[in-house]
Amino acid sequence: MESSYIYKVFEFKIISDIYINRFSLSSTNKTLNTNNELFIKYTNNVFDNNISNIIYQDKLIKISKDAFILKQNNIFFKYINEIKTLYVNFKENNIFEQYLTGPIIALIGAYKGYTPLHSSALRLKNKNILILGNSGAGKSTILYEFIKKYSAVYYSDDIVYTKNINNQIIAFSSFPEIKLWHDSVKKFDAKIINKVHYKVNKYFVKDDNKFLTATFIPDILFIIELFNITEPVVEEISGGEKMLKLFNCLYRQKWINTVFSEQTFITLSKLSNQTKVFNIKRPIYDKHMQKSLSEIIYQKL
Amino acid sequence: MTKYKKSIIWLASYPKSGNTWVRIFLSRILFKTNNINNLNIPIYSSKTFLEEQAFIDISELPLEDIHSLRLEVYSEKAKYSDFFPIKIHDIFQKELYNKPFLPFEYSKVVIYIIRNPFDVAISFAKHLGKSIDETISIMNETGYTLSKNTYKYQVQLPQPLGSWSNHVKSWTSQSLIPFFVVRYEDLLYNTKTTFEEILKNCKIPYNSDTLTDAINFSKFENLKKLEQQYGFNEKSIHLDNFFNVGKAYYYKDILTNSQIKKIYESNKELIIKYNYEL
Repeated sequence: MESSYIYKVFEFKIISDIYINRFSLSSTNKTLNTNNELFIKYTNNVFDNNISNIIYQDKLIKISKDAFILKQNNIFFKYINEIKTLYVNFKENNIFEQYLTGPIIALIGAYKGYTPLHSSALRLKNKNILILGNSGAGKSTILYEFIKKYSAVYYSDDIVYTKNINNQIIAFSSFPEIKLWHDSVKKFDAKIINKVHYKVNKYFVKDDNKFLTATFIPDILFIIELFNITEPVVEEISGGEKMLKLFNCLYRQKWINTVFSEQTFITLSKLSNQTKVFNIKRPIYDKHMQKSLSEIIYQKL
Repeated sequence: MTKYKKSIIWLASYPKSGNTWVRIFLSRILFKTNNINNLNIPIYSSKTFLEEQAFIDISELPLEDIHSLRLEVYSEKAKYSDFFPIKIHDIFQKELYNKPFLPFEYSKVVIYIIRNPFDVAISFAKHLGKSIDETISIMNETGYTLSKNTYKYQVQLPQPLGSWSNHVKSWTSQSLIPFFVVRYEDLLYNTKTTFEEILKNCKIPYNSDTLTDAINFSKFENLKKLEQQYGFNEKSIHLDNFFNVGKAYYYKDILTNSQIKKIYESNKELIIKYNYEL
């Protein structure tokens, strides 16, 4: 089957056999290095389990320095780095795209020397800010609040690639869409593009005038963690704690840190030396909070 | 030889019925836990556990896809476990979104924990941040669901509870998984024997030292102390402490006669069956 769809997302030019909704929505016109081509091919050979020199393995995935296979009942991905090709097979498109635009793109980035962080990224007061945290930490809502309230511009909503270039950690913009739950869409009167799925009350919103397709040097980091408390606690962290918290913010930490440990360690230690890092312990339920998290972060800039 | 490894132990109950107590006890005896915030016993409705196992952000999937994934993830984990306890508050159903409600083929036993509905009403009211009268109405509501709001991010998946009586009946009348009913009050007043019965029904090996250790670790006073020291992540926002009273039949000093009557009338059959008569 001939490849028919071309997308430019993250740092990749993707040449794909299959139509991918999310990439179609996010494609930009940026010029890319041909080293960063990625071919996506549909395969029926889902029993192909051959991969040598496995470094990490669990019931979902096998990863070596050259390739990985991720397999569940209805999903199959096999990536071979040398030929820049990702073979896929799936029955449920939603789950397929969820894997592809999250853990798979993060992992393929690692093969290209990027260290993926679970983070949103924005620029405000001449500072490049990363807001890191796991799903549900509130990264997107805080990001959108910064855009609306403080006219911030942004680089990413959920994943940020970082790379050590000339002894400095550089970060890269990713998807222009921000994903917000219905309550936040209402609160900010956000302009909706699409639902993430017609049965889910979460929406893609986008502000083209505020999105920057760029590389940037992160200046200050905020790591958000959820706790069963009523008011947020903010503190600057340093030393071992700083590194440990940064490691926990790797996108799919277990895989990336095991297989690409050297590259990850170098990137995160340099990032740790290069930036201030604040830890924000936030309440799970924020309706009683005196100040919003964006106000709290703004005061630290 | 059975085709599937039956390792799943369901710790099922209506909320505020002692599920966390049994969960901490089992976690101590099976996994030697000393941290109440890291019990190694997931909650079936937890998004975090699913995301950790499946490596994707599941909140962007429709509920039926999440349920498919949940069946797959729990089945996979069960295959590699000897004992896999899981906490659940949902009412029992055979099917959900046209798929089995639970990975039945990997399910070993249900420990159903029941507590008198009078004390439950008080504790559940505090948990929900609602009045006792509102909570009694919820306990009589056949369609009540926890974490139902799909318009904002929820830490948990929706958990249909049904009424208190329907909840008890659903688990204790099903025939797909063997079940054993434990009264919260027996855990309080006949602690050692009741916990031993739980272990025997789960076929979990133990000796007198491990049993005593797990009972002491999960004692109310110890849990209260640990919560004061380290906090407890599962505490409701409406509560100062999760481990709050730890007594039985304290409703007599709190509920009004009309509230007691309302609960009694709605749940008479089970109140009599489980010796909760006034």
